[in-house]
Amino acid sequence: MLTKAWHTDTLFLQAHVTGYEESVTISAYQGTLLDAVRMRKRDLTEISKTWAGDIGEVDSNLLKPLADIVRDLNWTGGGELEMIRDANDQLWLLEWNPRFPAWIHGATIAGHNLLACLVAGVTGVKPMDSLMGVSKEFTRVVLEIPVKKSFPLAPLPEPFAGGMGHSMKHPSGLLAFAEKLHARMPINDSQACTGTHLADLSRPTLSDTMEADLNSLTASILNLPTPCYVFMPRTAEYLFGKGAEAAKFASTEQIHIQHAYSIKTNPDERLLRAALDAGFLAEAISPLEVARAIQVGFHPEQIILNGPGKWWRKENLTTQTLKAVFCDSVADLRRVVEAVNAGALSARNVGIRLRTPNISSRFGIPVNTPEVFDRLLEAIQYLPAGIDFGVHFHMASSNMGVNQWMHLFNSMVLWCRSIEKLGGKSISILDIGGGWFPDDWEEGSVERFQSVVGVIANQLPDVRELISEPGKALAQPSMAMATRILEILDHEPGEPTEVVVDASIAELPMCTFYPHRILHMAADGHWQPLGNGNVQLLGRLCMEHDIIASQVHLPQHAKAGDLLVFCDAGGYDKSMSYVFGHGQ
Amino acid sequence: MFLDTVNNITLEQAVDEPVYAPWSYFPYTDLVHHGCDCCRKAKAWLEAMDFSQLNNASIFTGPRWLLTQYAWGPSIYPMYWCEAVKKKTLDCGALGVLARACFNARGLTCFPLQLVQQYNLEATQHWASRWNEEKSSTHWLREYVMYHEGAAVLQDDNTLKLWDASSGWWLNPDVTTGYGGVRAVRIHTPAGTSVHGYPWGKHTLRANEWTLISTE
Repeated sequence: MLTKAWHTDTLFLQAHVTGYEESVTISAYQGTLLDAVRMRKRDLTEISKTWAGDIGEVDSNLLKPLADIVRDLNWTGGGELEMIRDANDQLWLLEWNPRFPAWIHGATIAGHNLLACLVAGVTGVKPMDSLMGVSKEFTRVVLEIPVKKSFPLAPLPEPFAGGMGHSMKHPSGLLAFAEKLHARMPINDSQACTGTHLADLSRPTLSDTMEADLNSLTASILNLPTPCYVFMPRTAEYLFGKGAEAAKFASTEQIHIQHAYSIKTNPDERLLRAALDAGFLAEAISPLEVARAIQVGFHPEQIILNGPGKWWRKENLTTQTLKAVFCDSVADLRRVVEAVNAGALSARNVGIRLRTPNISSRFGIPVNTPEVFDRLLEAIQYLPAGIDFGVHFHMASSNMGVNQWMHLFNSMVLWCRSIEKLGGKSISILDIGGGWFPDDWEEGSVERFQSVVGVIANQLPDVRELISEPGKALAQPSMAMATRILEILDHEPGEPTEVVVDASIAELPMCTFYPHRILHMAADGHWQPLGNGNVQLLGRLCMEHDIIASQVHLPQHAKAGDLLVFCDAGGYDKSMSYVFGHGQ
Repeated sequence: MFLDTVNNITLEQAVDEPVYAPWSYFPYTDLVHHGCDCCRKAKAWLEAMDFSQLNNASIFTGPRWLLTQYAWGPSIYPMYWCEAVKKKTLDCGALGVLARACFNARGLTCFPLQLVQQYNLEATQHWASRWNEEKSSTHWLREYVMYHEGAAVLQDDNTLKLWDASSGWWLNPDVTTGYGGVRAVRIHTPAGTSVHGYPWGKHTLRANEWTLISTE
């Protein structure tokens, strides 16, 4: 990373030394040291540049070797040795700059006009001494001056489209002001101010199916060893069913919307079956995932194979015809074409995954240079006749926001149009990926699909099938994580602020990526959603960063052994969880 | 800038003629189309890239991304579309053509823009030296002014914004003297467009003829 940033492969790394910054600045002419000063930084800018300093004489034991170096180098000009002085008064050299520093006038103020010395060395003209020795300390100031008419200010460079540009410093953080306000009106006083406790205002809401799922679990969950994942069957059935309905509703005679469940989101058999029962396809990123889908009951023609490593463990890949294979590179496309031609692979559709220009991604074929775009158009020519062509793109809307995603979709449609027109292949299947956050998916997904279908019908008239992958939106709310309070830490009298639970970042690896709804089981067996408060929920692991929730309001009657449930743990929390701290 | 055969032109300029006089009949730059897929691919790539880079911002956003793709520098003409998009360096004329193509593809009305801007002798001599090193024409330079190209974008209220594609900024209509000041402008509009001219700041730019912005 450093090599890339500095455009060099000859980096010189130094150990960090704690201390004060000072420097020695010299003026030399043809190998003769004319003058030198020591400057200690007394005030710094945000990037450690000198804002004020004091000027002193250079130690005599440093002057001699300095003069020798200047002589040996036959140095002419300025120079600055930047150093750190540590607590033991030891000087450590940082670097030698081959020029005068920006604060050089500060040395003149202190009686050492190093620039004039150099000019005098060259010309023999003696320097004026009007400013000499006014003060040993100097400071820099900001000064507004009128701009000369002959050198007007340049126009403002426009921020890159969608970037923050000049507006990025606003609104001001006003952190000190915020702290003062907080001190005057802490969270717990909000009750007195508004009559409503913040914890009540921020208490999460649950869908009817989640409430029903949790209530039906109340008895059985008491005997479960924790931490453990809890499947929410009503929620899963409702979400997958609603997704299927939305697809059916927004489909047209021309374009059939088909959801595909991304197996990697959570390969739990119950979720795969929910997807299968709702009429979803399965999207796999490896032959092992293809085998898993077939094992659960998907027909090979209901499976899409995707991703950059789709040939890993290829001995497990079915020889039956797949629904679609999307290629992650031009080389991958050539490999697939060869395999299809040789009869080693069979798929109804073969397509490409496009890398999203302007949005950083490691996946798909980049089209940000005309050369790669040309190569892609050329490779498409070799697709076997009789196999439909498709295009896939994927960028999680949860990473970029729904509006940005819609622009990305429109931009990808434009690329598809060009590919169709110039590559000579009609696109019959378009896979728009997924990565929807559950709330975004719930709100307006039918309207969004209708809008998307309208654009496709208008711009890509040969598309017959639109694939969407809402795995995260459906799986995430369909499982929860049950955990027990191990200890309420009482370091100080008053309300506790730290509570240790038996779950950890190993079971909730996404705990810091998005808020999880948390519930506490009250003594009467009812689940109470927890709002905002002052408690941190600490994981069981001896890891500093094992903090699975912050700013949680825990009921006063909560005690060790009580059950908590983290909702929204059925997506990547489950599939990316790992074994840690189990002694094996 | 088409006349790449004109090299080592003198930088001197006459004092008694309008500042745009050396370029009175000078055509704005255009790229040549082979009439086949190579150039169609180039244009399609440019338009799709521009839309992707727009990133959900207003379609009136300048295509500043072009400067991350192409450095400003000498170009040799004639230049084909399929060549232009693959270059590392493009001059103001070629960058202006690409910018116009981007604006037009977004559905905006955009005209070719010719400018005369004031600079100083140090700047013009430096550029002359650089262009001469590349054996490219210096016809665009005089002692204290330079000929420049860009894109004039028509806004909803029928006023113009002038995009300097070589710098990635909108030209300031209030800066008409001094270093970088706009001294003269010519926009090229198709037949049948406004005969009254188009407002640019407090100026009115007549169509298809040079408008003197400042005489200082």
